[in-house]
Amino acid sequence: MSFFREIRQNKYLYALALPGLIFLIVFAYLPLTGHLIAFKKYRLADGLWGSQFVGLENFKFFFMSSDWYKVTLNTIFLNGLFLVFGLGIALVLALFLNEIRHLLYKKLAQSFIFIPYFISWLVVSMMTFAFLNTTDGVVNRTLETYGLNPVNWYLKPVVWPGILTLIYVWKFAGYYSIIFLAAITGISGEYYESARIDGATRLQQIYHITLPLIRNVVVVLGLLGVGRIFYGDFGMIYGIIGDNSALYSTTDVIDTYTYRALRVLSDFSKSSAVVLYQSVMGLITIVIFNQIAKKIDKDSSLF
Amino acid sequence: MNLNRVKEDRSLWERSFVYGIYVFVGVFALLCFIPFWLVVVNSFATESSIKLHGMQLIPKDFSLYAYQYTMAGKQIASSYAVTVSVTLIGTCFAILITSMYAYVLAHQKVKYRNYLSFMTYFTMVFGAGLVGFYILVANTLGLKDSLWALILPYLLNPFFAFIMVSFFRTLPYEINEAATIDGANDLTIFFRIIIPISKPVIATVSLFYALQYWNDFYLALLFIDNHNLHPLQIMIRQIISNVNINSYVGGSQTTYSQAIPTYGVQLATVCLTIGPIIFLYPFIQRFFVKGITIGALKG
Amino acid sequence: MKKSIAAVLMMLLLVQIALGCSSSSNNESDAEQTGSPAAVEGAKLDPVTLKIIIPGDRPADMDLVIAEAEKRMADTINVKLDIVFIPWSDLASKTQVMLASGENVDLIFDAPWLHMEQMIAAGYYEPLEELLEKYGQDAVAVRSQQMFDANKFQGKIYALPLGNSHLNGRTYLVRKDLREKYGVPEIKTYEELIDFAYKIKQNEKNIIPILAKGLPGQKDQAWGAYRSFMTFSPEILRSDALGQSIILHYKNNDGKVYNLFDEMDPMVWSWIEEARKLYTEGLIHPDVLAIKDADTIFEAGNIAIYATNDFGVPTKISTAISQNTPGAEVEAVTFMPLEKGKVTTNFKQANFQAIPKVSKNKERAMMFLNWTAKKENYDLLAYGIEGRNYEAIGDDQYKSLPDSKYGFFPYAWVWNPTLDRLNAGFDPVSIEHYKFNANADNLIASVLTGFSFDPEPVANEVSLYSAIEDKYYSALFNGVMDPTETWNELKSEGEGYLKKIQTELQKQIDEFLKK
Repeated sequence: MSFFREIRQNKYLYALALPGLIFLIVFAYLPLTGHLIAFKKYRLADGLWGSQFVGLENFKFFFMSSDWYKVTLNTIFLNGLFLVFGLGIALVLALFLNEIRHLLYKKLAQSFIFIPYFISWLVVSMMTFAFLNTTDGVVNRTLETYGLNPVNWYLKPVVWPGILTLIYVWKFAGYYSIIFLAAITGISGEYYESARIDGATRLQQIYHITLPLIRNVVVVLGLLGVGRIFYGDFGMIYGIIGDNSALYSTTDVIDTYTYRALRVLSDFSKSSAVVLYQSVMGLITIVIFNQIAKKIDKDSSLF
Repeated sequence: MNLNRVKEDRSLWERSFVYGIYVFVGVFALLCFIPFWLVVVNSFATESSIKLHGMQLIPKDFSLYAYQYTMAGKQIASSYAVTVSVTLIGTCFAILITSMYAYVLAHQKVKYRNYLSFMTYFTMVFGAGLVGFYILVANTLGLKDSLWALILPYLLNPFFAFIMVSFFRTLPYEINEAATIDGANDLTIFFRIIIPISKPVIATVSLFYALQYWNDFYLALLFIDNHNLHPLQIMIRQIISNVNINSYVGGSQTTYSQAIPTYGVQLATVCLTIGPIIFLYPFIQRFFVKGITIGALKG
Repeated sequence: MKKSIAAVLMMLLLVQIALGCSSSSNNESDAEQTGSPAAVEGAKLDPVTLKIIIPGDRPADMDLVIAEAEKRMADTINVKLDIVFIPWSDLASKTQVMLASGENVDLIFDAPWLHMEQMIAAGYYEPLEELLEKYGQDAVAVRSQQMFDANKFQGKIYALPLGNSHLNGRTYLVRKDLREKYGVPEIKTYEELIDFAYKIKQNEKNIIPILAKGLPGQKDQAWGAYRSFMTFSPEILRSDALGQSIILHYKNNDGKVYNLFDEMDPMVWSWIEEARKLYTEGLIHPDVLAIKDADTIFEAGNIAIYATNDFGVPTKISTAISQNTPGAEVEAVTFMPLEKGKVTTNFKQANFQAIPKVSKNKERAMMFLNWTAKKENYDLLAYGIEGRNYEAIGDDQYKSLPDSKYGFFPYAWVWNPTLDRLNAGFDPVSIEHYKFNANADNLIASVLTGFSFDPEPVANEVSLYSAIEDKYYSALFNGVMDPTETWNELKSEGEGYLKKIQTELQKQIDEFLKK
């Protein structure tokens, strides 16, 4: 009964949320039934409900070899690097941009750092190759002019987490910094005024005013990233690494591994099974981290 | 930041810190800009100069061939039309629905907001399966080959919704209380008070939605077979992937008598897709000005 | 204003859901065969639109060609064409989703290297024997009997094979100008080819002698593995279970499956070791594994030898190279014999057109395929409009006109060896090779002609083993990593799965041969 009372009390608010809710139900929850394919042997003639139920059979191919452990670790490790450095540098950029007074410089810089977001992974991988290839890559040619031996980057797996992180930061830091900037501009100037009157340096102002007031934005973005930590960025990694098997040990993620394994057998049920695995693991992770976030600051948690 | 500030007396340390900031930002911006410059400039270079010399800062030979190849035919006009209309309509609806929704999730009075948040977030973790999604849109809703198939599925992006939620949470609740005392109901508060002071986040999320619609090819790939309704990204994707068919087809007597400009075409397509958005961005920047929150409270 | 729009939208959504709430999952009703009007010879039929799925990019002149085709068909089979082009990179996923959701498609491109066998196993395609008999006599006549026999799946014809030859061409593209520069006579043997490569290495600092392919999808063109196509005693043929890999292979046409893990063939090992030597001495391109588009690298002009699948020099490459490097000339060098009865083939084709079970116009689709088997119609769909897109040279050759706005994709829907024209730009030797291999009787028929492997019982092993093999194969056969180490790693990780696959394959072969 209290349910209806609540709705009646806040009827305007729930009405506001209604379109969004309908959308969620139609476009996000209804298709969830498609996940059932992971447990079935899907045949068109039988449809979704009629197809034979095979339990955990479709999961076998993924967990049968020991590779699943390796690619899961790679996925988590790479995504972790991306998240930490991506958000970190974005935050730094936003803070710095906020300090810049010269209007033209600021606007130009803001526009420029946003640009890499538009460059498709295809072009990025082309540029990476032009940079790092052995015969006439920019890096190797520079090494040679200084008398050092060229390095065959595409055969050295150990450096690639670093290279990929650099590329990720380059592409997304500008994008995330916009979010932080929007939050920072929402902070009233009065706080800074009073702090300055009290004699605080700029750095102290940032540390004591800006950061705490945008903390919940940072945490929310962090949580959102953590929830997707089991999903590798297929477009990025397949685009840049492609099928270069020499680099798999450090760059192969769940998504690329599954793609290659199922390329031969193109089986919806099996790929659904892996996605389900990623979803469940992601869910467990986010619930844990959300609880932690709640303990630290009630306003920062997602739910 | 155009505030009237009293000229501050800063220490040497602070001054060098500020210089450091300018340098850091400048270097990073340059690193971001140079590849873009390379892309734009080399899209105007002849294919042979790209193949022979790689991407240069100033190419030696100029040619419009890559653009001619990409823009041949009337396909491009219709593709632009489709993309522009989908982006405009989609962004308007999306920002409306999302901001209304996010406001409720952030509102203190709403008892079930945590459940709603979880429900929303759940969909981010459990993405819709491909087949389920396809059957829903194509069969159940019958949206195949219609522009709505490109607009509806993205109307509420949970990620953007949460960005708005965290922003709304920073607004002091006193605003609501003051307005309620003055006799406003929740709807009035939202549309008359909250929205005007939320310009930064609305501008930001609108930009993100616009980008999402502009760059999408996934929905078009799945649901649009009629080539007159193909948005820009699909048209471009077809050109690029067709040019690289070597790895897919075993044995083909390709007979194009003009060499297909692979690199040039890829670069030209990047420019064609970036162009409009880059022009849009400076207008959005206007909205990143200081909020007037405290002013609203006093008023 | 904005609020009412939102309200209307909401209503729209609700109405759609209410209306469309019938079985979103059960597509049984769509799969019924609705009869199209019976084909009475010569009588004008009701117009029917066929939805055809073709990979690639829609050429600018496509509408013209369609209009002409529809004009020609107006009085007989009266078919309207709705051709949907799908980009190569998304072909697999989009066609899968289309088929899985039961969408109404009448003709669709598929291939063993795409997902044809899986789609057949899942029951998406219609068996064609009856339709071919009733409406497809011409389509049958222009293809050899061997082509049909060899491309059955589980004993039935599930898709029309599309091929202009019974054997894949194999050629080393060689820079003729460089060869002549160093006074090397025409290359007739593999040893001479390698000598030429060393000459280039010694004398030309900026030219890399050899380029092969390093992607897992191109295992057949890894330098060492490519040798198998031009070696004939014994002839090593890839098995039916693992795509292009020769780790499981056939020999001597004896119906047995050989496993390199059990016993390494000394000839194959010599190829691997030679590739290693060539790589470490800098003759094979150092980034061979990372290169995504090898054609472009060759076209840039600093490669001397390049392995490709086809006879002759593709026009695209010769045009590009002459633009990028003035004075450069490319010639085709092949060691394939022109003797009858020397080369074995299983006549398997790589491209097919299928009719999905859910199509409502199956008879008309077959009539259309039949219509394309007439010479002037074939020419139209394959080459475009005469005088505008191409010039016919004699009866069996053609020349593409410059700036032609039509593409080249007969392999996607109409290819057959009888009507196909050859590119007049090829050198005479290559043309001879094409003509030779268009005649099925010139080749030895493999005892496994007509056999197709059903991977279902070992599905997990196949996908796991493929993932493992992908890690090492191209590196091994291009000499990028140490042979013994790499081989041992591959063997230890993949042996178990491969054994199971081999056993299953042999079992299915034995059953097939008994019949």
